[in-house]
Amino acid sequence: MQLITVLSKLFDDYSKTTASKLKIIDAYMFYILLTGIFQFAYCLLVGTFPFNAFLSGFISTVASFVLAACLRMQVNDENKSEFAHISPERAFGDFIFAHVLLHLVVTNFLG
Amino acid sequence: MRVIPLLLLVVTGSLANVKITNLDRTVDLSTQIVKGTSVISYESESTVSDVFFTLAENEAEKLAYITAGENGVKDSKLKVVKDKSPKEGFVNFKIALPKPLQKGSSATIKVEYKVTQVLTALPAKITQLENQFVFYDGSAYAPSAYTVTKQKTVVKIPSGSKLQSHTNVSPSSKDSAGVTYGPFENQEPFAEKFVRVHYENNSPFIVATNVERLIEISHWGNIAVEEKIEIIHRGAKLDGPFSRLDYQMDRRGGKIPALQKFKTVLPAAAKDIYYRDVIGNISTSDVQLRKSSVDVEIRPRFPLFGGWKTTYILGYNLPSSEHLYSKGINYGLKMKLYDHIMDNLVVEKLAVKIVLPETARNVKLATPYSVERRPDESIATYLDTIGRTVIVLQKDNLVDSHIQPFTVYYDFDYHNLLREPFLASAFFFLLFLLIIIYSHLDFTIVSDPAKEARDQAQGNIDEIQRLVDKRLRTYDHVAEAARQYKSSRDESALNGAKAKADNVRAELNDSISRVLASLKGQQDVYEKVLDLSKYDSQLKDAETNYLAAVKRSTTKDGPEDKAHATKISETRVRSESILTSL
Amino acid sequence: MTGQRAFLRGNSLGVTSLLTFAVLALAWFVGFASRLFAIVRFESIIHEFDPWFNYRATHQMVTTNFYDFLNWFDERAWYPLGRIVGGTVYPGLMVTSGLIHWILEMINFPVHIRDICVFLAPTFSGLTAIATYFLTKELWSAGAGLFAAAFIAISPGYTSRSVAGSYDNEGIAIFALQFTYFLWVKSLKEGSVMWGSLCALSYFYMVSAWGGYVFIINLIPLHVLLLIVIGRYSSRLYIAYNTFYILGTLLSMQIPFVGFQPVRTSEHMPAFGIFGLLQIVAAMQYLRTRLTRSQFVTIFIGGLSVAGVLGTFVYFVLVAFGYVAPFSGRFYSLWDTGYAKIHIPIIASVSEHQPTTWVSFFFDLHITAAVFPVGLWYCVKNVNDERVFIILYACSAVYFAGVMVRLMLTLTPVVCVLSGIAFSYTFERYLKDDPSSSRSAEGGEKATLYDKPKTKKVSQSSEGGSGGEDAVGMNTKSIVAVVLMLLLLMFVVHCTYVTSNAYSHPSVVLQSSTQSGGRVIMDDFREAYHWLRENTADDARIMSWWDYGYQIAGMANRTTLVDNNTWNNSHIALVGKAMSSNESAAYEIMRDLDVDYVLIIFGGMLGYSGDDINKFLWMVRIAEGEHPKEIKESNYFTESGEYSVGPQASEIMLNCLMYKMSYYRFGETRVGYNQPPGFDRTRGYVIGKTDVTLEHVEEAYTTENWLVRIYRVKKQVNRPEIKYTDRHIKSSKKAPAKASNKKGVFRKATTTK
Repeated sequence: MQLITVLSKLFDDYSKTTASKLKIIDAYMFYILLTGIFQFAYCLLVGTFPFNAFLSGFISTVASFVLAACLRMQVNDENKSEFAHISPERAFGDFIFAHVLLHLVVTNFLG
Repeated sequence: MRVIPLLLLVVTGSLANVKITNLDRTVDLSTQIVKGTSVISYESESTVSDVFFTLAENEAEKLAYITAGENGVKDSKLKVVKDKSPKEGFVNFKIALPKPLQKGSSATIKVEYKVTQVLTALPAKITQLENQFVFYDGSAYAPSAYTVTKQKTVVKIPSGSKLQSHTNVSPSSKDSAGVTYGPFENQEPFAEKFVRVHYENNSPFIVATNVERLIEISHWGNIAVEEKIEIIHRGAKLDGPFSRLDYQMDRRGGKIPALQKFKTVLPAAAKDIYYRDVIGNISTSDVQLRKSSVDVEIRPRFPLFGGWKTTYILGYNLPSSEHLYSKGINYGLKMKLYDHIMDNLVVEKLAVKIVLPETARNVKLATPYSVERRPDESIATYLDTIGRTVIVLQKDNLVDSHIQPFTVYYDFDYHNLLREPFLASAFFFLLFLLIIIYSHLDFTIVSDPAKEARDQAQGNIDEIQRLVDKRLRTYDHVAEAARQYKSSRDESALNGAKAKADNVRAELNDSISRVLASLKGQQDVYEKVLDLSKYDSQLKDAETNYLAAVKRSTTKDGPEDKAHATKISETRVRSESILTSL
Repeated sequence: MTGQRAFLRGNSLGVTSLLTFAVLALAWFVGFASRLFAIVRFESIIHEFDPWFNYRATHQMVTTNFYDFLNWFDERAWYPLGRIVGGTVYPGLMVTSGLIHWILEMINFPVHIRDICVFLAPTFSGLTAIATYFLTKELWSAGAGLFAAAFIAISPGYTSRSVAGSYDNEGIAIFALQFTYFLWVKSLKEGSVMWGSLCALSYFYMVSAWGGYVFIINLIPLHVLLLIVIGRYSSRLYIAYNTFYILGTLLSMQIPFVGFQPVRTSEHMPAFGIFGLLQIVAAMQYLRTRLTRSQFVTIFIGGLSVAGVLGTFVYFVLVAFGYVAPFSGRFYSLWDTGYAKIHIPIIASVSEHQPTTWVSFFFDLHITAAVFPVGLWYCVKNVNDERVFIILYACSAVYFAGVMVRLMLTLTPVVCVLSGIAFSYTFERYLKDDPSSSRSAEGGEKATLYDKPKTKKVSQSSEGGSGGEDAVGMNTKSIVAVVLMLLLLMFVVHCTYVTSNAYSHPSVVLQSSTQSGGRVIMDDFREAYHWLRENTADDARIMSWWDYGYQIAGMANRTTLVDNNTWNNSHIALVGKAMSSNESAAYEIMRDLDVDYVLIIFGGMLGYSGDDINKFLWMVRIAEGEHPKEIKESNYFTESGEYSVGPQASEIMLNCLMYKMSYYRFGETRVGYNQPPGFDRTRGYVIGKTDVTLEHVEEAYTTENWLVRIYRVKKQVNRPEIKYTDRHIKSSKKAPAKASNKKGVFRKATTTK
C-alpha cells in the first residue's frame, strides 16, 4: 500500500518538476529498457547461441542505457554545480563519441 | 645459313693442319679444386689464327675458369672461347693466337683451368676420427683434338698425404708428390685411357652454395658491402656421433677434415666489419690489419664436419674515395665483382646487387668475364621517394681466380644529394608549424564565460605585475642619480632625475588604478594591489628622506646609501612575493 | 637578476611548460639510455625466453599479415598437438611493433623488425614516465608528477623488465596500466563520458598486451566500492565507471585470447557486481531528493539487501551450473603462497613466482621503498576521490609484490608516484620562500642532469605557495634539502648500478672474465641452436625441458615438444618422465613422441648453476604429479634424503636419462689440473658414476664449453639377422619371411619420419 502511494507521489512529482529535455531522454531510456527486457526474454526462450551475437546485442542495449543515464545526469540542471565545466553541448558530443565507439565494436563483435 | 659450312671448313682445316709436338699436363689435386696446367706446343702446316684446347666433357661441365697465355711471357692473356663438341665426350676451346701461326712454325701456349666438384669421397661417410679419402677420375692421356707427338701428365696430391691406390698405365711412376703418367708418344686425336687416383685429402671441401653480395653506394662518402654466405662441407659425410671430447683431444690439429676457421681478406680500407647470422653476432672472429688488406679470421659457430652447413653474414664499409671516380656528373664505381671469402672456395651461385644512388641515370656495366644480368630492381631505403636502381648480376661456379674488378658507369646530379636532408628538414618544419597552428586554435564547442573572465583577470594581473616592476625600477634610477650626484654635486641633475621619476610614477599609478578598476570583482587581488601601493608610498617617503640625507652627506657610499639600497631591495622582495601570489 | 625573474614570472606559463617538457624529455632519454647497457655490452639481441616467442610471433606477423597471424596454427610447438597461437596470445605487443614497423616502411625507413622489438621496451619506458607524470599530476601536482616521472624512468623494479632486448608483454603493459589509471582518475575528476571512453580504449590496449589487466578490472571496482562505502558517491563516479566498464568489457572481448572471459569467469565478476550496485545506488540517489527520509531508508535498505542476496545467489548458481568459471588456480596462489607448490608445481617451479624477499624490495626500489609510505600518508591526510584510488593501489600492489617476485613490477609505478608526492611535498615545504637554498642545493647536484630542472621547478612552485605555515629555521631547511638531494643522488647511483649489473644480461650469451681482466663471451646456447637450425632435418623434433622451448623455436626454428607456454601439464609431465626414467623406458616414450633429438643444458664443465641437473627435481615432481606409479621423488634422493649426483646418489638417479646424458663421457675429462676426472664444477664434487654408456641415444653435438648437449635418438635397430646358411630349421622358410616382412613394414614407418 505504502509502496503504491510512494510511487504515485513520485510519478506526480516527476511529471511536474522534470524538464522536457530530460523527459525525452527518459523516454529513450524507457524504450531501451523494453528492448533489453525483450532481448533477455528472447535469450531465455530461444537460447544464447551464438553467444557473441547475443552478448553484443545485449551489451549494446545496456551500454546505450547507461550512456543515456550519463547524458541525463550531465544535462540535468540539478547537477549544474557538479558539471560546471561540461556544457550540454559538450555532454552530447561525448555521448555521440561513446556511441560511435560502442557501435563500431558491437559491429565487429557481431561477427 | 651459309656461315655454318664455312665455319666447319675452317675447323676441319685447322684440325688437319695442326699437330701438337709436346704436351705437359699437371693436375693438382691438393685441394678440392682440380687445377690443371697444360703447356702445349702447337705446330702448323698451314696458316692458322687460332688453335683448339680440349677437355673431357665431364670436366668441361664443371669448369669454373680457364685462361691461356703464351708460355714464358708474363701477363700474356689470350682469348679463350668455348667451341662445340668435336666428338662425344670432349669439348673444344678455341684459343686466339697472338699472331697467326705460319706454316711450319710452332707456338707454345700455357693453359690453366680449374674444375670444381669432380673429386668424390670414398668412403662417402667417415667417423669423426677418420681421415678423408677422395678419388679423381680422369684420363692418362691429355685430351686433344690433334695428334700429340709427345705428352706427359703429372697428378699431384697434397704433400704428406697417403696415396691409397691408382690405376697403373705403363709407363707411369709414383712418388710422394703424386703419380706421373707418361711420357706417351704419337697419340691419335681424342685418345683416352681411364685412370683413377684414390688418395687422402684432408682439406675441407667447402662449397658456398649461395653468396649474395650487396653493394650500396652513398654519395656521402661510403660504400656498404654485405655478403650473405651459405657454406656446406661437401667432403665425406660425418658418420655417427660428434664427440666434443674427441674433438678437443684430436691430435691431428689443423689436419682434421673439418672447417675450423678460415681467413677472409677484405680491402685495406674496410672498416666497421660485422660478422653475424640470423640469431645475432658471432663473437668468434678476429681482425688483423695488414698493409694491403684487412684479414678477418672467422670461426663459424661450430666446426664444419662433412655434410654440415652454416650460414653467416659478413659486412663492412669502404670509403667511396677509393672506389668511386667521377668526371662532372659521370661517375664510375670500380669494385671486385666477387671478393675473397676463403682460399680454395668453390662458389656455386653468386648474386651481386649494386644499389645505385637515387636518380642515377645512364647505367653502363663493364665486367671482366661474362655474367648474367638480371632485370633491374628498385629499392627504397632511408628517406627515398622514388627508390634506387639496383643492378642484379648473377654467375655460377666461381673460384678464387674470379676475384677481378668490374666497373659501373652512371650519371648523377650533385644537387640530388641535398634532396634528402631537405626533405627531412621540411618535414620537421611542417611538424612544428602544425603544432604552432594547433596551439592557436580553439576547439571548444561553446564559449566558456568563466574561463574568459579568468583569462581576462590573468591578463590584468600580468599588466599590474609589469607596471609594478616598472615602478620599482624608478627607485633604482633615482638611487643611481643620487650616487652620481655625490661625485658630481650637480643638484639640478639630481632634481631632474627625481622629477622624471615622479612623473613616471604618477603615470604608472594612473595605469595601475585603471587596471585595478576592472579587477574590482576580485576582492583579494584588489586588496593585495592596494598593499603594493602602500609599500610604494612608504618607499617614496624613504626616498625623499634619502635624498635629503644625500644632499647633506659628503662621503661616498655612506651608511645612508646602504640603508636605502636595502630598503629598496626589501620592498622589492615583499612586492615580488605578493605579485607571485596573485 | 631582477629582469630575469620578471621574465620568469611574466612568462610563467611558457617557462613552466618548457621546463616540464624538458624534464619529461630528459626522463625519457635517461630511461632509454640506461636500458641500453645490454646492447652496448653485447649486441642488439632478444633476451631470455619468452621474448623469443614474442619475437618469433612478431616476425611471423610482419612476414604474413595480421589476419593470418590471428589464425596462425603453430605446428612447430607442442608436437604432436600444435598450438593455436592467434587465440592463445596477447597480441598487443606484436601489433605494436608490427605497426611501428609498418609506419617506418611507409615512410621508406627500413628497420629490421628485430631492432624494433629490441628497442620497443626502452621506448615505452619513456611513455610510461609521461603517463606517470600525468597520473601524479592529477593526483597531486605537476611537481610531484615530474618527480614520479623521473623515478619511474630509472627505477630498477621497472627497468628489470624493460631493458633493451627484453621484448615482453610487461614492457608495454606498464605504460598501458599507468595510462589507464591516469584516464580513470581523469574521468572520475571530470565526470566526462569522453574521458571514460578513452579510459576504456586504453584498457583495451592493456587487455591486448598483458594478462595483468585483471588487476585493473578488479582495482577500479574496488575503488568505486570504497568510494560508495565511505559516502563519496557522486554522479561523476557513476558516469566514469559505467562508461569505462561497459565499453571496456565489450572492447576486451575483442581479444581472441580473452574471449568471453569477462562474462564467464569469477575474476571479472566483482566488476560486474559493482556495475549493478552502481545502478542501484544511482537510482537511490535519484529517489532520495524526492522522498522523505523514512521512505527512502525503507527502500534503500530493502532494495539493497534484496539485490545483494539475489546477486550472490545468482552468482553461485551460475558457478554451480558452469556458466561462470570459478576462480583459477593462479588466483588462489595469490592468496595462499603454498597453494601452487601443492597443486600446480609448474607455476611454483618458475623462479619469478617465488615470494619476494626483503632484499629484493630494497634492491628494486631503493629509497623509494622507504619514502613511499610518506607519500601514502600525505594522501591519507589530504584525501579526496582520486587519492583513495592511489591508496588502494598502493596497498594491493604491496601485498601482491610480497607474494610473487614478478608482481614487483606492478608495485614499482605506484611506489614511484607516491615517492614523487612525498619528495615534492617535502621539498615544497623546505625550499619555500627561500630560493637561494634550493639554488645552492642545485649546484651540488652535478651528477644528475635531469634532477636540475626538476629542482628549479620545485623552487618555482614553492614560490607560489600560499605561505603562513609554521616557520622552520633556515639551517634546518638547508640541511633537510641537502640530505634529500643526497638521497636522490644515491638513488640514481643505485639505479644505474643495478641496471648495469643485474638486469642487463641477455642470458642467451654468458660472459666471464679471464685472469688478465679480458672479456670472454660464451656463446654456447646460440652455437647449439644454430647447429640445430643448419644441420638437422627441417621437421626434426627436439625434446628439451620446457624452459628452452621458445628459444629452440625462435633460434633453431625446429619443432619442440613443450615450451614456456605451459598450457598442457600432462605433456610436460611426459617429457619430465622421459628425462627421469631409465634409458629404455625413456626410449619408449621418446619413440611414442617421435623425438629425433634431445637437448639438455649441462653446466658441470663451466660452473653454470642454472642447468638441467639443478632443475631436475622439478621435472621429477611434475612427472610424479601425472605418473605417480612410475616416478617417485623420494627415489631420486640419497639415503640421507639429500639431492645429489655424487657417489651416494641412488641407483635410479644414476641411471636416469638426464644423468646419463649430462655426464656421458664427462668422467674422462678434467676441468682443472688439480681436480680429479669427473669433477663437477657446479655441484663441487666428483660425480657418482663416471662410465656412462648410452644405448638408444648418441651424442649428436656438444658445444664448446659443454653447456648444451644434443643427443640423437637412434632409429630402432634391426633385429640381428641370422644368415640363411646358419639357420637350423631350413624348412620353415615361411615363418621368418613373414616376420621380417612385418618388421619391414614397421621399419619403413619409422624411417620415413
